[in-house]
Amino acid sequence: MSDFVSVPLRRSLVTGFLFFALVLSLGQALAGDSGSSQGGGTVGVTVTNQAPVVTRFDIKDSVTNASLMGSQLDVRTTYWVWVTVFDENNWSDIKQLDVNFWNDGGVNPEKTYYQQIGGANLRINLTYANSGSNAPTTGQWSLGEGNANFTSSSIGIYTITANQRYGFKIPFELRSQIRQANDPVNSGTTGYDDLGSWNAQFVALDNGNNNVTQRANETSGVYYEFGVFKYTAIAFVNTWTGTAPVAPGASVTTNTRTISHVSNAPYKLSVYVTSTLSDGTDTIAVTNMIVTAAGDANDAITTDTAFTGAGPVNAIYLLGSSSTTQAFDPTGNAETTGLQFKVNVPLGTPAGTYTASIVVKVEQP
Amino acid sequence: MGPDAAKGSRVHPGLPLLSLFLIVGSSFLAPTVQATTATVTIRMLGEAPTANANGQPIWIAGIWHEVFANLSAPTSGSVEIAAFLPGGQPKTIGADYDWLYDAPNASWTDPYYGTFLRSDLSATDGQHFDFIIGLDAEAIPGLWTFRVAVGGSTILTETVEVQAPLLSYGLSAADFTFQVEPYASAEVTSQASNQYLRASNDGNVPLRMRVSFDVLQTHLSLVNPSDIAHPQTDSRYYVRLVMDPSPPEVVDVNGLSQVSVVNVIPSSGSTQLVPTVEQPFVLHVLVGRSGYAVRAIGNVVFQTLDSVSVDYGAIVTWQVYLTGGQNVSLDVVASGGRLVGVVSSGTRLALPATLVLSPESEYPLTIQVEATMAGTGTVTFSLHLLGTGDSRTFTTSVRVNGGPTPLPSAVSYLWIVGSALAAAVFILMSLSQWRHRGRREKARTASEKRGKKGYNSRRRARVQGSRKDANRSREIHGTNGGSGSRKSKGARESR
Repeated sequence: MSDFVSVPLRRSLVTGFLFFALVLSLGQALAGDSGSSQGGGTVGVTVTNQAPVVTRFDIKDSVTNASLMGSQLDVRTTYWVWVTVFDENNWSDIKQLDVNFWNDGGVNPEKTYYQQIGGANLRINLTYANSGSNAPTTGQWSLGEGNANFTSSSIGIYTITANQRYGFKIPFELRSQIRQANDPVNSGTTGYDDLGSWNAQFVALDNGNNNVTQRANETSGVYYEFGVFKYTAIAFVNTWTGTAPVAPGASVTTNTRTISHVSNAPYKLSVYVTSTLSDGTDTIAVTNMIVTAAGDANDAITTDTAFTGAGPVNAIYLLGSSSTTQAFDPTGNAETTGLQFKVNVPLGTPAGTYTASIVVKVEQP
Repeated sequence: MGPDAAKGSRVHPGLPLLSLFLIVGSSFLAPTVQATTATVTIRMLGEAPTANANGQPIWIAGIWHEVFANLSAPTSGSVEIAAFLPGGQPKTIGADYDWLYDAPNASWTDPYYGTFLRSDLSATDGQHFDFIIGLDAEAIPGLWTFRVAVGGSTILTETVEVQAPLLSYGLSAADFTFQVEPYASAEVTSQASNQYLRASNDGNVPLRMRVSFDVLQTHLSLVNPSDIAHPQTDSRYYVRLVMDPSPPEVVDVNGLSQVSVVNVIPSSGSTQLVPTVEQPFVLHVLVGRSGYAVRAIGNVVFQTLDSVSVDYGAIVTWQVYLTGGQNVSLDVVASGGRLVGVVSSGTRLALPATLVLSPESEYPLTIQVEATMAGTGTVTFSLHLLGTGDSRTFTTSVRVNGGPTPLPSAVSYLWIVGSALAAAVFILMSLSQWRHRGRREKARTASEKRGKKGYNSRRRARVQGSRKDANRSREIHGTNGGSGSRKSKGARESR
């Protein structure tokens, strides 16, 4: 073959081959895993490690058994997590299961479970640990983290296929200050997209390090999100009384009561008087009633503060203010604030026991 | 609920057991008065008797109680009840109390303090004695001795546990949202959507509960409300909404739960502050078409669908509605699809369009969008209120079914790189061909310059060149034959 033919042909063949290889590689990269091949050789069997399959994951009402994923959960109420897991390599292949609930932080992009490190009121993990057992037991479940009430002995285990497929009914209860979240009405199929809600996922890990994470309903594809009811509570022992006799022109200080208060969102704690102090006949004006600074060293009252009048418009804020809120407590189940009053008795006040109604208000704006 | 109404209204199932226990106690502790025995029950007004883990009755300080003594036979003598803290200081409100029914005078008295007996509520028929009495809120908590005497003789002695009053109240509240059809009467409850208030009394005193609303007061109420939250109870209350026909609107309602301790005993001190606890919650009432998102901006209400579905290449049509007290300017933009038109009463609007609204009727618009792209698109409605100047946008998602699947970005990048490489390869091949053709052209031009030769002339020249090559080869290898020459010969033969 002459040079003028063979040289360009060789070059073209080389580049063409390269191009062909490139196309083949591209095709290989884009191709799916399906396909078949056959050939001769030695006979042998390689058993592959199959990833666990999560066929059901839901939160249900413990009375009606209705699914509550996508709606709001109440605190201090028992719910069920229903989950079914299948492992083709037998149950002993299952290494760990995790039920993850977490508050998305209300930011875009939403926080993942591992990014939510705000505290026990923002992240919950119910975990199952297995070390080779071929059938699950309730004692293998535990509360990994988070402020939830959980008793492993109450878990129901359902054998669907012995040694392979099991269902679990896991009772749990959100504790008082689990972060409030709105009803996730906008949950969709493209991801965790309802800002300010709680997200859920179920993770199954096997001994072959297959890590299966279920984040959306296996049928509808809607991502697991839910909200949490608002919850506020107040507790204190006894009323406020000025037990010592007091002469007109002097003042009497009541006992200090410790108010235990609960709120699962930023809040305000205030107090106001509904009416004047009265003994049925005579009165002492509200402006003679004072919230003392000594009642609590850590609240917003740093100097003795008198009421300017009756009613909520004249409230005195112990935590937060008329325009600001007290930060949500991300870790505990309740907080406490001391409250003490002092009453100035004007000169000329007739003798008697003077009573007034005071209102302690905890609110989530 | 007043004390009168509360008396005897609740019977605890453990009451017979408790009474039996007290009878047995009296039999052992007061053997000299076997002729008259008594059963006694102690309970807060309106509440069931309670007992501690040892079965001892619980008495809450600061709250009115009913102490009901049921004698085995009528008596004409006075009946005295005493309660004291063993080791406590006599005749102090912290530790010592005494109450008396003076039979000769038919009077009820609190001889120590004159404060802790409700003579107006106490009663007897000569055999049954109903004392409405209590301990001051400052009474020292602990195990007290409780004693009943008839005619000066003790017929019963028992231990009771005195506890300080604990107000502990929690309120759960859902995101209440009611949606009712415009211009139609409606009665709905929040039970269908499982939205409720849950009142939890975790304390030891009964609480009076009241729920109020700042607007729609006559339209909103609790289903099966109870005005008393009993100790250690937890109740759910659903909200009922009854609406008269009304135009589309969005009403935000502020609810308020108030609880206060009932049957509080007035303090014997100089001042007493009786607590109430308040907890607000919120409800939303949406008057709008079923399935529609109802949004408000100022006094204008806009209703559209949150999302619509359409097949690729088809046109989806839906209606939006506006209601309001001022005119608006509306613009509509579609992304991920083509806005075919915005139609009002059969006329296609030029956008942005000024709409004249009425607060009493809906202004319908027909929206038509063609699905020109796969995936999810949006239609954005921009409203500008001409009266107040407020502006806001609302969106409807358009989900397109089918159509060309957009490639994932990674695959797209692979295609770009692959295409670039392929183009480079083709350019390289073309360049190579062009250069070679250039050299061949040069060679041909040079030969033409030497004179045009015929076929035989060119053949001879080639043969001569081959011989020269063979001679050069022999000079190099020092041989006179070999494959090279044979090959050349053969090559020649083949021609």
